[in-house]
Amino acid sequence: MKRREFLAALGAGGAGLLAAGCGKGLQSPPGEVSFYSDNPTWKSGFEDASRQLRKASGTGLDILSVPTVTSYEQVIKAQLQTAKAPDLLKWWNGYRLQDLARIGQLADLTDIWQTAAGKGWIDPAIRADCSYDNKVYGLPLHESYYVVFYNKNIFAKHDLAPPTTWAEFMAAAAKVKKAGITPFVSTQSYPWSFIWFEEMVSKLDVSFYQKLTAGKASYTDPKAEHAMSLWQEMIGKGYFTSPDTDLTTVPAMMHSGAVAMYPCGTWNNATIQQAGLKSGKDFDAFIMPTIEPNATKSVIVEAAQFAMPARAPHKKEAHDLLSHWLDPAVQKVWSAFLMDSAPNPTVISPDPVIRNVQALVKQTNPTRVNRYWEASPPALVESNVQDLGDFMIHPEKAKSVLSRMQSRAEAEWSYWKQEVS
Amino acid sequence: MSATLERFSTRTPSTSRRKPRRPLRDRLASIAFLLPAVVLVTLLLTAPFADTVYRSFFDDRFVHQSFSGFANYHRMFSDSAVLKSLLNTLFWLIGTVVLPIGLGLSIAVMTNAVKWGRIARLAIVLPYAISGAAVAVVWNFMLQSDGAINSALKSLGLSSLQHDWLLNWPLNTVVMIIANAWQATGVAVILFLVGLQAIPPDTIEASALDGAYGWTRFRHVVFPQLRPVTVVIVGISLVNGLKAFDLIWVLSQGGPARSTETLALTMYWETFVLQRPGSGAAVAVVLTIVVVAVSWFYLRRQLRASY
Repeated sequence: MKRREFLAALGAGGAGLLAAGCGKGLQSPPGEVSFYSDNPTWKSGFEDASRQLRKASGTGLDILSVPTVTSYEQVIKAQLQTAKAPDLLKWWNGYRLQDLARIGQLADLTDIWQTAAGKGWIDPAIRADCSYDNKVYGLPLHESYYVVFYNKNIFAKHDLAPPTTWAEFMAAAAKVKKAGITPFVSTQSYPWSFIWFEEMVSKLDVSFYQKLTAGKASYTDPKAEHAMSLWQEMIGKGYFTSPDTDLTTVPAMMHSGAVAMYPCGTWNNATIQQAGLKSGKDFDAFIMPTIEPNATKSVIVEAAQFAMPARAPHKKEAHDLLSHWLDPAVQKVWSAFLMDSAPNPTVISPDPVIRNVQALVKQTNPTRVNRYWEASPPALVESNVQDLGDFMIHPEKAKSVLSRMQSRAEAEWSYWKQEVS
Repeated sequence: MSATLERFSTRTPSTSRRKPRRPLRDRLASIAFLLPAVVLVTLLLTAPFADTVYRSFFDDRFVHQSFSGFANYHRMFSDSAVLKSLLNTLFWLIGTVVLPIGLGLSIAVMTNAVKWGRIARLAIVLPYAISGAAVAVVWNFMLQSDGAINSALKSLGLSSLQHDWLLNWPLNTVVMIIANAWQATGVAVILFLVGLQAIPPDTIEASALDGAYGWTRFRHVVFPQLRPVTVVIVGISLVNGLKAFDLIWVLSQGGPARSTETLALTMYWETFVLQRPGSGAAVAVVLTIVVVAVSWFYLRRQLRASY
């Protein structure tokens, strides 16, 4: 091939690629709708669910994963504004969902929710976390509870039972600490500093937590200060792992017996099992007790969402598929893969730890509150988790950290209200 | 400047004469050859930069933005996290110039003439072949509070030297600069070796005849002849320091409490994490001004000095 012919071919190829890149709409295989997720490890679970969905709706999922959360957010936010929007996407609930819904980038799924609620396929308590302006914009992919995973072998060795009161909880921590085991996992690694904050505040007073995250209470309130001082006291006693602990190493730490308790979402169940601990035999979970015995019981809930872009190229097919998502036949398959709690409350998990948590929730009926990450405007939460990380390294800064969080809350709530008005 | 031009024109008098006008065909051919580069630079560099400058004067809304004047710049300079980020950028700038150049020059000089130098150089140059993200993963393993460095210090009975390397400022920024130097020194060594091998042996022999050895020879004979390569290495290091991102992002995501951010991370944080495109654009403009100012100041001095 001569040089000119080669250059011409190269130019033609480039132009072809450019034209394809500017083409309209995502090309999914026939009978499938495109679905974007930020969790590649869920792909085989989505494939299992997709087979069930195809049986019910005639449409399956063409799954695409963007593995980094920040990249995923950028890819989706950019695509939602173009004709290349996916048909379906995984997104967060609460204010992160509202962030997209308020600028008209998501389709209204209220009809699907109402039909599912009529059949008892969805917990009505979490509707507000999936809605904006009283319309539903997301269907939950799972209903993870924030629990305390514990190493059963350590508890048995030290004659400990899962604590039901704060005093028992602290006594268990003191006992394992005395035996040279770190009682609790804790890290300020982005963004996980909020785990202990949300637990301490909600277990002190759940209605205060709800008001605080809704911008109706102050971070400098004596209740917030009390929660921080208790947390500070626990840090002082050496109850936590180092603030720069890498969460990916925690299941191995649980397995080796270096740490006894791990407060986290039930979605972590699968990861702990992958480290070699057997569900129900080597580890189990309990809901963190309230700090005061008479306080209202509560549990933090995290529910990632299935959402449909307003510009979805195959809206009808995607809508039909979503109307079958909460069907028990689909949810059984999905829950078995996920080893977590399905969003359909009639589906009992086959996993012993999750089954136990589901039974605890049913038995104690705690107030379900949204995770801190999704419970306030994203810009406020993103910056506050940085300040909480600062507190975990310098616990003596509790007051100044709360004061910074309050100043930011005032600015960010005012910005948010101005944006949605 | 005029003196320089005068000297230049004295050396090459023919260039001062007016050249005959080239035929149209030649001029068109020149334009055709230049056009792809001009179009690419305009599309991919100049236009986005102009758009970023324009965007920095508008508020943070994604749609229906309003003109906000210098509000984004005002907010930026009143944010303590951004001011710390500016300070960290300065640390990086100094660290990425001083460490790789100091170490690179020392290693190149010490290993240039010895037999085992090749093996030593290979060991030092190898990290340069690793990606920044992989370097960060390795250093994270070493620098964590329960990581390799603290474990090694403990096992050697040096527990008093243990630190939370990544948790406290400015120590965390300093160790990240050292981690960066571990990788970046390799390229400095290679370039200094090229420079050393290009030094004419007769200048070394002449200095030996004059009785110049050791430090005197290095200071007065070798180092001045390394000037061109030093200019290049300092230039590369300056740019690397100002665009430091991947290592910091993987090691700490700019935390804790945004204490390890540099301007490049602040720009990313504002634009993509906080979703504030106006504020992010203002940081990008300030970063560009710093990069251009430093490069211009440095290159102007060096290019003037080389005439």
